Amino acid sequence: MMTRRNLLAAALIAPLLLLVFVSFIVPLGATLYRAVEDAEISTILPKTTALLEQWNGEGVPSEQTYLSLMNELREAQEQQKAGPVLNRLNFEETGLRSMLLQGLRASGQFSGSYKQNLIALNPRWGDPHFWGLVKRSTGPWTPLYFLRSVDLKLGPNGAVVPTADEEAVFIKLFIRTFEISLVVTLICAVLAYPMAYTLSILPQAWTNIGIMLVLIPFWTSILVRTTAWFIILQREGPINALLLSLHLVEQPVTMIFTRFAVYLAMVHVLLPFAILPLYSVMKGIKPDYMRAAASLGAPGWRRFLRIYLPLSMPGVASGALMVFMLSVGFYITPALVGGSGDQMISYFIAFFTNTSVNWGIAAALAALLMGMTGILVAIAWLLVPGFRSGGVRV
Amino acid sequence: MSDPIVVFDSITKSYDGINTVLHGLDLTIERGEFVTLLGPSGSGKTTTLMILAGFEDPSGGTISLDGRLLNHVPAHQRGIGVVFQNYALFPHMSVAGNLSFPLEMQGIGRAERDQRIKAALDMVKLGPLGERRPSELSGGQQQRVALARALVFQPKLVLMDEPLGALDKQLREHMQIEIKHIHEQLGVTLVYVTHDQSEALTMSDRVAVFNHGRIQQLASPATIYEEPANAFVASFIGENNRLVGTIATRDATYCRMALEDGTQIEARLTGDLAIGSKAVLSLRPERVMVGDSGPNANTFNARIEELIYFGDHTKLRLSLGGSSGFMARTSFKDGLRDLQRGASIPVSWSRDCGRVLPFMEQE
Repeated sequence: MMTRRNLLAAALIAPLLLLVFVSFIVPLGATLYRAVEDAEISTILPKTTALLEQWNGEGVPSEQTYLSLMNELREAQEQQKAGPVLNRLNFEETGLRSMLLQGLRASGQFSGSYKQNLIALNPRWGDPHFWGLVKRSTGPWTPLYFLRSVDLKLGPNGAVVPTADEEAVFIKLFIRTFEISLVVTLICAVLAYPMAYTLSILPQAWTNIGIMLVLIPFWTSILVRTTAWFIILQREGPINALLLSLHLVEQPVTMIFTRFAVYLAMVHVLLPFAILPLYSVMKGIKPDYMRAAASLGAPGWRRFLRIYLPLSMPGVASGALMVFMLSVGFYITPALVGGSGDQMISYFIAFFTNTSVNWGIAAALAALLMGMTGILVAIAWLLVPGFRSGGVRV
Repeated sequence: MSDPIVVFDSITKSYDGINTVLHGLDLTIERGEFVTLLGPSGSGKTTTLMILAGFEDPSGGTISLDGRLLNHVPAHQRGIGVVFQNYALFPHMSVAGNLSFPLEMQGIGRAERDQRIKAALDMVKLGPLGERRPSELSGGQQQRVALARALVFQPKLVLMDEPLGALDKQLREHMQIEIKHIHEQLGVTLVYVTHDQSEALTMSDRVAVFNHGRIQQLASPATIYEEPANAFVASFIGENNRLVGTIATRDATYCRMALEDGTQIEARLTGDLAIGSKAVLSLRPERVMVGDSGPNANTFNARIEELIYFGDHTKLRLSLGGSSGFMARTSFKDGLRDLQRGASIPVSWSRDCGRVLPFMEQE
């Protein structure tokens, strides 16, 4: 039975749930929906869609279908709505856009059968495979975007086949994204551990200064910090100037637009996320544990391995988790200081969203990135000690 | 027969180079002894223990264990068991894991480890709880695990830093007896730090009373209680009446001390006090006899200011010799008497019960 207290508690928490729903569940659902939705052709070319439904897939469709496709496409182009249809079909098979536009341009001078005129213009108009693609694109759902995100596509007979090598970029991109993220996470953990330890044992006055030194960059805009690295790492930047003036190098060292620059800037941006949780965990490890271990006969390194490391592991885990999750979604830093071979998946999600306006593939990539990150975190949860025992803080 | 195991020789300690925590501490602990370091907080007792355990370095002086100089021996090579105030049980290990730790450090094989862990757990009556985590145990059980862990690797010396401080009164008294029994059973040397005087008196062979970084007195509990060496020990241990006056007459053992209003009290003399010097009389409330009680060197009429009934005894606050805070404690062995506030009553005590000590400013 709901008591008054429970009702009050529910009422108090309701805005939070609403916020989570509006700002998280709804966009997430919309993204997932967009990744499988296939509505462009059926909404913009409704008559053609209806006619294709009656076509049995053998031979070529009726003259009426050719006519309807051309008319609806022309109408859409006049209303500036043809773009999504052309994009959608071109995404199905490269070259379809120009073939359709060519047909459209020529159709003004057509006399007699559209079907014959079009086939005469380009023999592909008479290819049942082409019409099969169009019919397949009438929706309402498509696995195409998800397949393409892992370098697969639907073959002519509906079977799943690998994409052509020059189009197979996404698996490599996912691997690169997780590789960069793991390297950054590892570097952050290795650097943050001694830093957090030092902060945790400094006298209070020094700790405050140390924490400020961690927090000030943390509070600075990520764009500002990345731009700073962009300037520092230039061929004519201060580092190269220094190296040259000290005669340590003959030629300026190429640092900008390299993987090194990406790691450097990302570690710099993300290090506080590793230091702060580690510091708070280490601060809570009472010196008595280490004293007890010493009195029980453990020399320094065994005290560290058997006592301090396991007790600080929840801090390592939560810091690493935070750094990894943020790294996976990194966009601006690799875009600014990395080369073309250092871009991560978010760069392409942004590209498909803003530049090529293919929201389906952007949504599918985003959903896959989220799913894979979730799986990796779940594996870490099961395998890495300290992940699950995050509650051990006495 | 003297067989010292621990010798502190002129140990000094200062953390910041300005304030001295220990002033030239000399302390010899005999093998198999139960020594308690007792004192208020900040008196240096815990620092002494930390230096012995190797967690702090002395600023000066030497310390030896079994004839071996300890100054530069790191804590993990000292082989001293320590029970910490908050137990410091490793939270990520089971109870058995905690007990196994020191044995693994000694490179003891699995079979012998298991057997010794079992014996240690049985000793502290926690036999079946080996697989539990410390967080799943009660405070008293954690205390026992800490005790077992400090003993399982058979150290010659075990240090305990206020180990019962976090337990409730009943459990504390129970554990006091249990620790005492374990000490007798194992014959291990035990150095125990506490600020609780009753704990010190009930458990120890000898008590070292600390104040301001110095040992004020080192003696058996009875001596500490009955024959305090100075006014600090007298007032820190047990309840105590403190009357200030000057020495009127004296011989080798006894003296007469004159209070401000001229009342003279005969008592045992501690320390070399010249006639006319300022002194303090220390007298336990339970040594004061209330009512008529034969001839005694010190018999006075006192006025009852307050009566506090405790059941097994009654405390009387009396005004005597110009002081109104004089406490007497009586158990009315002959049956309860009808005493009235404001009434006058004779009180007396033997001259051997009162002790005249050099005057010290009270803390």
